[in-house]
Amino acid sequence: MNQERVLHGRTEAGVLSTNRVLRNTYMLLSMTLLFSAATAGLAMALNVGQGAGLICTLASLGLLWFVLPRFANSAAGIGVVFGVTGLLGFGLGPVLSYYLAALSNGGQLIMTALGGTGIIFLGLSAYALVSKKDFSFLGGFLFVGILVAFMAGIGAAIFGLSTLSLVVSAMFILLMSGMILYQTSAIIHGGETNYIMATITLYIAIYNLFLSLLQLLAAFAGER
Amino acid sequence: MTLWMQIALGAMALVALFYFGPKAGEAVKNSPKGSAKDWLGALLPIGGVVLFVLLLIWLAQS
Repeated sequence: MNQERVLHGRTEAGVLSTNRVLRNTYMLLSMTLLFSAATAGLAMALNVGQGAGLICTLASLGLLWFVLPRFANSAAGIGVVFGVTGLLGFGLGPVLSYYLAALSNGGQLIMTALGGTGIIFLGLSAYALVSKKDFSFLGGFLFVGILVAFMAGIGAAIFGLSTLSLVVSAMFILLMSGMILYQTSAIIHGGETNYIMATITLYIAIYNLFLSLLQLLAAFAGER
Repeated sequence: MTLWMQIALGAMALVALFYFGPKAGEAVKNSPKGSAKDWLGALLPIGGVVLFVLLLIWLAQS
């Protein structure tokens, strides 16, 4: 008799599938984070300028928006994910070099932002995993919020509005926190079965959290 | 920021607006509605993040 076991209202196959997506996501996420740290280090060692950093960031967004969705269901998608995260890391290099050169406590602030980002990510992931709450209702709010914050961030950069830039950083910390809850909940409730898309979503959340936290720390505690 | 950087960023903003603008509307329309309890469940950990960030800023200042 072929009878499927049911665990807490879900089939055993469903639970196993969720665990597989979760495991693959965290494995690919850790590899992409290490890879982008390496490319950021390379950019810093090569003393890459802000312009080259911006070009890499724009290229990574092009890959993320237009190429990745086409390859997300194939093995080639993993290569695209490494392309996106490597370019984002390379673009981050000049930003880190700037903070190290401009602030006497730049190194300390970078490490604080890095540690803080890690704690926030682990804490929110643990909350979503343990509470098993469904955060799918955040989807629309996050989509619109991120688009608005993205536009405001670009406006602040173009017109040199430092106060708006700080507001955008604060918005991004809140939105990316929501994104971590939303994506982790989507994985455990079966709403996200593609670990490539789950990985890139969590990576972008971590990347933005780190940059926003660094900017806030530099603004309020940076020593020139 | 140089002129070409401003133009590149402006172009990216326009691409994002035209590409994601309509999708944002759809996402809001198709997204399930959360109850007050659901929102509280999300705002609680995010409030914790806000307090943690304030703590980090205070620690970095001192």
